[in-house]
Amino acid sequence: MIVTILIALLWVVVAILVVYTVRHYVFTFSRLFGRHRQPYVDITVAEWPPVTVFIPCHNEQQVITGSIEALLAADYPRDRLTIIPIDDRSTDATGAILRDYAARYPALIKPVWRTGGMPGKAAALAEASARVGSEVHLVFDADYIPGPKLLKQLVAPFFDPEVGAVMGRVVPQNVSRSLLTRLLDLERAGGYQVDQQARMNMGLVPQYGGTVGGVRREALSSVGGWRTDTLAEDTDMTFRLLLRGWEVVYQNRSECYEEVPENWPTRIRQIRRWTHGHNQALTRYVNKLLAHPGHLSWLQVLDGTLLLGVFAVGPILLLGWMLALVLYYLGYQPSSSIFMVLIVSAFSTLGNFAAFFEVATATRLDGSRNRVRLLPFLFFGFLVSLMAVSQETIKQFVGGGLGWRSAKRWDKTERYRQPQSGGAGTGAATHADGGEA
Amino acid sequence: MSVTPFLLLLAATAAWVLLPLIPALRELLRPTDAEPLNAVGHDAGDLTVFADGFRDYLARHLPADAIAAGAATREGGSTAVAASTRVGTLGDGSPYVQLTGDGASLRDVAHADGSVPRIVIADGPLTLRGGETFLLEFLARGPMHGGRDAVYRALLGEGDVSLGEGSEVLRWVHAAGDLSLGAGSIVHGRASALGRMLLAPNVTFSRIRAARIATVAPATDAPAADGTTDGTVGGSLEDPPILPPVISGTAKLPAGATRERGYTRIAGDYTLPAGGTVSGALVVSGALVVGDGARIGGSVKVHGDCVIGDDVVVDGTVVCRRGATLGQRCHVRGSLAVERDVAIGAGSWIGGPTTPASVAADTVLLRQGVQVFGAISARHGGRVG
Amino acid sequence: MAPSNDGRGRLLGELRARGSRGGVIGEHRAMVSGRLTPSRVLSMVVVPVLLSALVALSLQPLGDVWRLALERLIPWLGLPGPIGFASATPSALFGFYVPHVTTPAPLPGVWHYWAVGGICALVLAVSLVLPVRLMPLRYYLRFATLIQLSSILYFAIRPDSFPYALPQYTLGFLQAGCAVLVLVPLVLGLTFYPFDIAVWRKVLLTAMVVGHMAVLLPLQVALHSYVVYHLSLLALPTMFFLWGLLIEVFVFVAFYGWGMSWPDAARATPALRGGQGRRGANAEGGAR
Repeated sequence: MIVTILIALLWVVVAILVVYTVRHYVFTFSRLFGRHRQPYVDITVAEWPPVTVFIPCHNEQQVITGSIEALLAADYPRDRLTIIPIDDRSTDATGAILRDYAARYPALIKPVWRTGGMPGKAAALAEASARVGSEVHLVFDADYIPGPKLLKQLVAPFFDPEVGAVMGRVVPQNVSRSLLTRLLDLERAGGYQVDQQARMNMGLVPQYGGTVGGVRREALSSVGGWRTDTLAEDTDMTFRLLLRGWEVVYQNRSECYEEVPENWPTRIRQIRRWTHGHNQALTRYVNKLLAHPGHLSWLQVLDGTLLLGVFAVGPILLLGWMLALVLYYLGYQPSSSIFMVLIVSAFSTLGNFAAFFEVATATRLDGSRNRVRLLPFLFFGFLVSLMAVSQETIKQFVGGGLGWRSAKRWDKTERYRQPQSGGAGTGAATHADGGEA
Repeated sequence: MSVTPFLLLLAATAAWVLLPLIPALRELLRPTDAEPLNAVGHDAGDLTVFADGFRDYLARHLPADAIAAGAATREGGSTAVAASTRVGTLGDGSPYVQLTGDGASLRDVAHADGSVPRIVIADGPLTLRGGETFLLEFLARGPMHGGRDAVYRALLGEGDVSLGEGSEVLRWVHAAGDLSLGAGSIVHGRASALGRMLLAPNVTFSRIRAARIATVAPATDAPAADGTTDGTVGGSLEDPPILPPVISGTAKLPAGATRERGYTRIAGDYTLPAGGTVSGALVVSGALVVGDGARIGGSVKVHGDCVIGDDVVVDGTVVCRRGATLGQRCHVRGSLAVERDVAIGAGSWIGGPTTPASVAADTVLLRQGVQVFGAISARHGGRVG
Repeated sequence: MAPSNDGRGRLLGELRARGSRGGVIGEHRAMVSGRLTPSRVLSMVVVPVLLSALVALSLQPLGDVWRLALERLIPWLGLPGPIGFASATPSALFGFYVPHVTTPAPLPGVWHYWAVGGICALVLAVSLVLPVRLMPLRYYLRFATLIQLSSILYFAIRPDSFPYALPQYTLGFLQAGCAVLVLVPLVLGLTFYPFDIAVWRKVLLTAMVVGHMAVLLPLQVALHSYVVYHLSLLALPTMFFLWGLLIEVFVFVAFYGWGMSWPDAARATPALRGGQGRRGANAEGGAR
């Protein structure tokens, strides 16, 4: 009897892995051969609406200058642009840097100084955005360096009245620093160039990522504004907008440099933060999604559900390993060697090979050829992610329960860039190679 | 028990396993592809990037005496000057020919088949006979009149540019003044103008941009001897009428319509009756048909096909997941973003003189008298019908 | 010299594609996508199926080669017992023979527990002192230790109930290996053949992967047999879960990554950035 139950559970685990495997393959083939959708990227001339760019900051003296200088160089009508850095009780020189910029550009840069209230990015955005009436709110992390055209590109989708949020592609800038950064570059490529774009192609649920993106003010207020009781306000926002009838648009062409973690402890903290927030969203929205709101197609409901469960796959995989181990000791023999191969390959690739396929496809589409040779080292990254995700999930569901752990402190990725004085930040994108001269 | 065979076998097996890892290890230890993706954020399809690049390139490489000679020609005014050519090489070794007067002197540097293998710099007003093939870039510092069936690799005009019927532009053309494309011309790359862009019938294009893009009848007046025209090819270009905003809608919405924050959602197909009005933005999950003379007082998003009748006004942007057809004399005040094909009826306007807008679609068909105040991007080709 | 008419047509085509300084401005990476042509679909399906069939038909001679290899390796390693040969019949129409060792592996005795436990302790200690930058290795070593500890726990509680023996294990391992070999062309058909890479390269990669695994599998069998014979059945679960087909998967990914770095077949016009192909590389058709 126990063996039967365990076998059934193992089948369930394998079935879940197969579903996610198929999902990855479908996305990759859609990206490769499907109808490519970037319907707003060619809106280059328009009556641009007022936009506010928020930059939540906490001790960002190393990077904030680069971000602001890049925004000052943005090609956007000056009379319709407001830049609001939100200084949340920084203890370094961030405040002084922002005061200097505010004095030099009083009409353009209007910092918000937080001295109280809950710390954290979501709380900072909630407080600052409530004071702003512009139609579009864009958000950039302090270490991002937007290009001159990026603001217009991110605003263009909002001409569509159904669009509630937009997300661009983040591109690691500090790629060469370590094996980890090179692996994260590969993972990001897979996640954006293939995964997100495929969801856009297929009219599914691209995810708003919380940076290099923006929300419509009307949409934001219709879903209750930024939530502070979650660690993944971006995932939370995605599903609130979705359930309320707003579209999230992913724009592959809207690229922006970011810094990725350069060491494993930072990476693990990042993964755990994402896991916690994502799992909060899972428990909060999966039932509402499965109740199938009328304006969503069943494919969107399915994709949204799978997206919510993406950080649960790790622990499920570990459960599968445990089940396989127990059944092995109990002498369970698979009914066919194919089944055994399925189990082994699914478990062996710490998920499924489809993830490697997605990453390799993305690097090829990027025109980056040789870096894909590092593919086998992705095992390391996946292993660390698997352990971090599983630890956090177990702690969340078994340890502390699902209490809404909110961001009681600033959770952000470590900064590596050297402090800048006024002028373009280091690592600013190379000049266009599109010119014929 | 000897462990030596085991250790040897282990070493051999480890080496065999590591063999396919060699490319990965080489890339890890001696990176050849570890730079961030290039030009992130700096190559967002600015239409004039090539023209600007060419201008900068000439400024860097044109010899000083050539610059002086050109300035002297232009300072001499628009009076006819004796035709002359001056050949040389730029700083990077590219051959060029500097012209004054008409283009007849190009014969001296052209091949027998009419191809000109030099960068052409025309310092004054220029009229070309037609049939030439310019294999390198062309800079026209004064008004330029191209002849029929000429082929230009790339063309930068510092004034008005008018290309004859059947002209072909391979890479790009930019005019600091007005740009006119003769009937049947083909622009493969991008075309832009700081002034107006006038497209005669059967012009095909992909990405174009100007303050005012208009489809016009073919020119009936020949250029003057000095190469200038009166610039009113095809008649005057009427601005769209200015209407008061829609306060409330008159059209009856279907039973399932829901008013969301920011727009009205209609499930399924919807037909806005002729003359009806809808206030605010509209999202239709099916197909949309808009009757003649109707008005939508905001933007509209259609998940199915969109058919807009004659004399319709949309006070915002039209976004369509499939194909769209606009009737005659329609006015879309915002942009027109269609994921498949769009046909814009005669006399319609997209945008306005003070409200620039874009048209984006897979294919774009412009009937006579259409005006677009901004840019048109036809991913799979556009045509003037 | 003026170009001829045909030459002129080609020249104009070139001029459309190239910038005046000779470079090619390809489509932006965000916009590139491929085309699934009938010939591409054909190559994704027909070639892998043919290769897979070829591998299947080669299993019998491969089994003979494996047997010969094991007949040399097993005695060389000092392991007793001849090499057995068992049939595998995946279907009524098709069958082949797969070799296996007959070396009996003992149940764990006291010193086996000490030896294996000591190795576990050593591995765990190493995982604790490894620097942070080798964190993935830390996790892997701890995971391996956990697997091994589960085996120690099992044998401590139910020493006589272990359902597996070394000969059956090696037979099952090689049978599963045969299944992997037959599947390799099909998996590559789905994940490598869609790309615009020359067919001969695709077949070459497939052959290299299959050939590599065909050599690796009996080597693994020999190594596993030695370890299990000397450390007892305590070591069998670890061999199966961590050093079995997981290695084949790792090898597959390594080859796949290398193959995916190979250039496009259609490169009539070189990319702007030369060999690295930074712009304009796509799944079909090369730079525009």
